[in-house]
Amino acid sequence: MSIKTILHLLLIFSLGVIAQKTLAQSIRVEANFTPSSVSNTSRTVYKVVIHGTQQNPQGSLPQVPGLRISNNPQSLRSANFINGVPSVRVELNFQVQPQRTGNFTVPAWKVMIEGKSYQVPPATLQVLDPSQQEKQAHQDLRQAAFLELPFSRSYFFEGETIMTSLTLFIWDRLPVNRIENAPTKIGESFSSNNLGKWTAEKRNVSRNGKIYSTFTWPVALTAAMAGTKEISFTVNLRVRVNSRKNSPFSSPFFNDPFFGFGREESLTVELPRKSIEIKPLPSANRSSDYSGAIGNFRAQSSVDANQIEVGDPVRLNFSIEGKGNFAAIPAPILESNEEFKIGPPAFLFEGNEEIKSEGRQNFEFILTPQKAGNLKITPLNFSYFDPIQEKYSTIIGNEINLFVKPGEKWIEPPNQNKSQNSMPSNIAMSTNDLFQTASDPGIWHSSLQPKSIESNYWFWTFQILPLSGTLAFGLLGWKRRNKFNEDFRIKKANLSRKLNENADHRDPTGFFRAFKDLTRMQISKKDKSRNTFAFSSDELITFIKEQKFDKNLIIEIEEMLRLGDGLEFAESSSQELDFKDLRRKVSEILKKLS
Amino acid sequence: MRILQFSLTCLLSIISVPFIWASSKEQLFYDAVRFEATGNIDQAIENYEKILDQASSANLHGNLANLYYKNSDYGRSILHYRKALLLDGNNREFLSNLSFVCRKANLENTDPPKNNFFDGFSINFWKGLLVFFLWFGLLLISFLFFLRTTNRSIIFACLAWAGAITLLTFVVFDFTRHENLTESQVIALLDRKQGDDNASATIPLRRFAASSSTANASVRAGESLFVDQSQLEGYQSHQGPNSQNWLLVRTADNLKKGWVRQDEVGWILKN
Repeated sequence: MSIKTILHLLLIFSLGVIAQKTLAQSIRVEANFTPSSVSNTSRTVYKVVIHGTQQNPQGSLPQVPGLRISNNPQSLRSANFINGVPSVRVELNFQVQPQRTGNFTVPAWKVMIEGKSYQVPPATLQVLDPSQQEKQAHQDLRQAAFLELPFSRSYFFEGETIMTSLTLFIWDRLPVNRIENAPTKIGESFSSNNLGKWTAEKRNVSRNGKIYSTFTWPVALTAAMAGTKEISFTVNLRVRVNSRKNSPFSSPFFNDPFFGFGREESLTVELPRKSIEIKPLPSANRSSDYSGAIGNFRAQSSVDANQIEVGDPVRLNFSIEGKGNFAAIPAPILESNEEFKIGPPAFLFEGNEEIKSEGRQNFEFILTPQKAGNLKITPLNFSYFDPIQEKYSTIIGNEINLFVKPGEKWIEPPNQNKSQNSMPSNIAMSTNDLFQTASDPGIWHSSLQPKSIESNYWFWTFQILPLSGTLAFGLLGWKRRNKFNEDFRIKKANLSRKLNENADHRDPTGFFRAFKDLTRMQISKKDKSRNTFAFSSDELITFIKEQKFDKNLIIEIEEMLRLGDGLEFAESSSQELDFKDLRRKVSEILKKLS
Repeated sequence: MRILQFSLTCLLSIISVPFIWASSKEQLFYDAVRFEATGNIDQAIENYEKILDQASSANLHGNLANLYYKNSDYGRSILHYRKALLLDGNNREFLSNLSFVCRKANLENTDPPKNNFFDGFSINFWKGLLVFFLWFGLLLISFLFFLRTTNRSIIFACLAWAGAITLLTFVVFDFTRHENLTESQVIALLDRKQGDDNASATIPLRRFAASSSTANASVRAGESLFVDQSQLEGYQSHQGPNSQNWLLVRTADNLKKGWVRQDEVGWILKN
């Protein structure tokens, strides 16, 4: 007998045993709704599972008012070994569409299997309003993952930093892939530290009869204002969910046997809003130098050296140690005075920089002594409010003595030749202490080379204004001057023509008037500030005399003007006038005047 | 949209750079003061020198000069007082300190050739004044021309204007010449390791641009020197072996002249 034949015989024997075992297995019938709670807008499945057979059952499904149950079930057969025991079953899935809300029970009903009658047990479906259903789902989810934020006291004070911890509970059966982000604070009434990655992680934490994993973040909350304030936190988890429509948020997805497969979704876990009473700080017994510190502190001051020289900087360290709102504590006020030049303080915190609720806060001042002697540094007092004892306390600073030796001084050198020494005389007389350290950098410069004014855009832009003004005045002046000259020329020509015509017509009045006008015109150039055209004969003569013309010319003009006035106003005789001679005289006078 | 996002990111990055830069240099400054206060002079100097790569300020150079003085490095002390005075020319403390250090270093006068003419104002002030007078004069003359004032008045105004402009041009020219001199000015420095006996140590002005060359003369640390201008462009320099840069320098009175290594001098106008 070959080995092959033996193996064949063994296989046949095994199948025989399986068949016998299977046939010997008792038939058991189960029925349920999956899921057992739905909203009236979603569907569910009425599932009948018959263990111990693979034959199709025969029976009539009872109708249930309020539920529309499909008459065409989907049947699934399966056979498998469980712990070495063969198992077969047939599963009938009836699609169910609820028509109203309420609890519905499919009563027990009979099926025929392999010629025998079996009873299908009753199954109940809970149909809820969509909102109720959602609430239920949320309730379930709340137990699957939730946040916890305990407080040590029932009330806090405005500005107080509350140290607590935020814990995220994740049920072990919840298939969380990762925590998507650090918890985020909701509400503006409190300021909080940045919550990064959790600082503590625990497994197998029992709560509400379930096993959880916990993730904890330290939280430092500072109340911004008094009153009853709410706070909440939210965090997103990345979970795997079944691809089916009704999972996970419309039903408790953790009951789903296919849980853990399918797509990823974000699940928001929110801490139910917590109301906290925030009391204002009492105003009674508040120190005048109180600057907002709340907690329990110790303070001390120290300097690096007790003996220094004038101008040498020394470090004064003022440190506050304890528990409290370190982030809100300002540096004590220490101002420069006659004895010390004091720079801005440096803040150094020893402890958890993120939370700043416990540790030591150092304020470092750089003091530069301005004069020699045994100087006393102003003691730094520190006031704070103790929220446990609910009262203000003041720590009186210790007095620090600093022995400052005189530094080197500038003394005018004897017999110094001032012409050789280019230092300004006021500097030479200075007795300032030398080599004093500046405690602040002053104005920053990118280059030592002074920035040239020409490189400034505005330098050139502003020059447009005077350039425009100059051009405008020049052009207008040019135009104005030309107009004046032209007018003058035309007027002169007209008057000359008039003079000649009057001479031809032997009209003495017109002749002398024209002469007078021409004279006025000519002398108007001499002083443009005066309106010579309005001058009378006497005024004209006086003006001509002021202008220092030749005496003969003045006499000639005066004669001519008197003659003209005589003819016009005194009605003198014009019979003897020689107009030819007069015209020559007038011509000479006007020539000399111009 | 992506382009917009990218542009915004770039813009924010560019805007934030000066703030980050500013905070870092100020932090370095305060740290340096703190180091000095705790007696760590070398670390304080190192901090100040680090800032100089980014920016400078009068107080920064003043403090650095004080520290170099305390380290008996008079050359560098004088150099930094000079730099501080460039940024704050009227600071009496710097002037007093500089004079004191010069005396301590046995130096008669390390001052730059002073511009005694109209000294006290910057060149930009004089340039601004020149431009103001130029346009003020032109405006006045054109206005007189517009008002049809007598030619005599216009000629008088022109002459006065030309005189003022000539005077101011001379001042600006004098300042520019002085500025060019400062630009070529260096301060003799000792090797940092040699700082202990500064007052007596000297820097040789060599005949040739080589370490082995004999010296024409020597100068004390802190003394002012002027780098000769090249006939072509820039300064008289020579690149020696080992990438050493040599400069041809002379003293203000032209009595001493020779080659120095670049690290033996410190430029006043350069950081």
